[in-house]
Amino acid sequence: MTRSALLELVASSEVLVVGGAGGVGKTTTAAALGLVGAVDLGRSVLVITVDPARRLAGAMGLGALTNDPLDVSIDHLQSLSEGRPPIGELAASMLDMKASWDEMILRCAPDAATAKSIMENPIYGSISSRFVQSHDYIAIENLYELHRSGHYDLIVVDTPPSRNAIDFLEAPRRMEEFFSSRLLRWLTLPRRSRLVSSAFRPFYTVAERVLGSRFLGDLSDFFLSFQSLHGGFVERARAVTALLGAPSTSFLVVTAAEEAPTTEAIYLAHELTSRSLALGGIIVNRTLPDELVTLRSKALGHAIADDPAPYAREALELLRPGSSGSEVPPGVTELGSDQQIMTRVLVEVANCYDAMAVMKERERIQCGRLSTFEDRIFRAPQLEAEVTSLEVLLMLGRALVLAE
Amino acid sequence: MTAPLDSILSKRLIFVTGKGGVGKTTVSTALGLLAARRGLRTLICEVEPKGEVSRFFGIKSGGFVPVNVAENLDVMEMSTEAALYEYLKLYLRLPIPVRLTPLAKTFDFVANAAPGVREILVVGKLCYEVRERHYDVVLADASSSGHIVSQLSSPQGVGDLFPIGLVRDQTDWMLEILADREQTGICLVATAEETPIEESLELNQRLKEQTVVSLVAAIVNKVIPSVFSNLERTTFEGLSALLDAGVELGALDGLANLIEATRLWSSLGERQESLIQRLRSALPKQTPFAVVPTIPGVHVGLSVVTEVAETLEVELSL
Repeated sequence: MTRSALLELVASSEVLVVGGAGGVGKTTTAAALGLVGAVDLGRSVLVITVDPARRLAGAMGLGALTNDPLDVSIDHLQSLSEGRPPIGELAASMLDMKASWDEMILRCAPDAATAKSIMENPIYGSISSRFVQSHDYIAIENLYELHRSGHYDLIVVDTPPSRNAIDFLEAPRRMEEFFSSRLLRWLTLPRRSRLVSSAFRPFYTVAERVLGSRFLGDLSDFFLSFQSLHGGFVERARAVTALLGAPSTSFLVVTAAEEAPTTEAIYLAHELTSRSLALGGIIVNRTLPDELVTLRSKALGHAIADDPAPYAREALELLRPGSSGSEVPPGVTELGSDQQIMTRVLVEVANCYDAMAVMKERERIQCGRLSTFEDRIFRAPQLEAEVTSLEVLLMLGRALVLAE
Repeated sequence: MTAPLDSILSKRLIFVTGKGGVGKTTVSTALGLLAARRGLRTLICEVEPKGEVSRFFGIKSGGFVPVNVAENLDVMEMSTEAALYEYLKLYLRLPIPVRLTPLAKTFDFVANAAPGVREILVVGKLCYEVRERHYDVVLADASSSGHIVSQLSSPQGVGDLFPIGLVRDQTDWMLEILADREQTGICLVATAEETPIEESLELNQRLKEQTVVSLVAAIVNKVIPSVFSNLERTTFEGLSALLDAGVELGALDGLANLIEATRLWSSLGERQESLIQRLRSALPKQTPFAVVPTIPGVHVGLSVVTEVAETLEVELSL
């Protein structure tokens, strides 16, 4: 079997960032690819997840939020090469945003007292737990730290759900911009100089009336301490940006074959390209088997829907003992002997087929919208069961990397 | 006894929320259609605008100023910046835009630096439309599970952050509207998959603990209905076995694909049943609860929204 481009990415990348709209299966995809990397390619893989489905977390042995990667036991899985035990390793972590912020402050603060005064300010509490955009930054920052540790050959990172799929790309730059902004400089000026600085006076008047002077005071205290992190922060944000642009980093965009997530995927793919970031591929999740829809089957479905009776008689005839030779397994014939029930079943079957055919058509149209990325589209099959075990996850991962 | 739909649409402000991708916008618009059809002056507000609601009605670019799209039905797209301007204009009587230029430039940073400002502007604008009685029903196509709690808890949170100032003065009347279960409610939307259901359960818990707003309905969207009764299933298994045995099908040639599609379809449907029950049993018994089957269509457009509205009307009539 030739290696697909996606398998090549899993084999050779150091960092894979998985993005896309909410609800398309980003986390599952990230975990499935990580598992293939460990089991079939023998790499040492870390999967950083943000908010996995409970059963997926269960399958990977993750109980609670943890920034420290936990080892996932994969010894019982079989590598694709005959009977050879997997030689790689898999670890997984589930980001704790608040703890990550605290770690970052402790790392960047010049001394313990500054760190303490930042962490005790009410504004810090809000920023670290509620400021949604900060999650994007934290996820990427966490990735940087773990990559730097050099413990892993490959880190697959699942991006947090955000208003806009591009937010996590912007996060480091925004952090940097914030630190060098005029606003921050102004906020950290002593109050009196703020009032005499004529450029800011109108703003200050409005701000004070709207927000209240006490809040502005808190804000000013907070950013005064926060500013001491400036050097460490900016340097870090630049390093993080560099890692995202490194040749060993690739981005994978996940979508489902529906309109809204595909629009988001196309947007994200273009944004990545325009930032000269490496788009490794677009993964279309939950696709239906291609061979499902044929002219013959479609015609049969329509004919049954129009007039099911003759087909029901035909089906009952086939089920009658002896009618179609000896191939009918014993026990089957007693199952469907009622003409009415058989009619209902056939109509239902025709309806289901029709619905599937429409979904397949929708899939075709959405894949068509992605045609500019043709050589980088990978399709994952719709699974019949939810991912509850590493075996199922591995199956999904293999279906993804081995397709074509 | 009032029908569940009547009790939902008797609210003045409804936040439609749930995990990303479950169909919040479709459900918000469907509820908006139903409200407008009953003669209620209705506003649908896209809180995180993607222009989807406008597109349903064939409008290219909606905006902060409500656009009339059908009888009794207006649509608007939230913009925190525009909301801030409106607010300042109303309460500070500032000449716009002369003195606001520095504010406009730095607004984004202030909003980011002081979490709660952005959120309270969104909630404030919606409550304002309710208070001024511009509409009978305001439907917020709200933020997804991740952000809705901070939005709805912002009026309380602001109390801690802003002990004085105009923002502080404004929170009392907002809280009054939000906390009144006769006026305001949350409509949870989920699909029958594990994560959206679990997230809805968690969200319900957090909304209860951290906000004053109460639950008004739960809707499970895009559900694949279960296909067969037991007796029919047995017959279906018989047909499957026939195919597995490789019997010559004659006129039924091509049946294999139909059976395969049905098998996949019903396996998807079966795992949904227990998830729907899990959500239903976790919510108070009297909470209006609706299951909307998936509508296999090539595009999501007004026709799908209308079909969802019709289903909701039936599902929520008893």
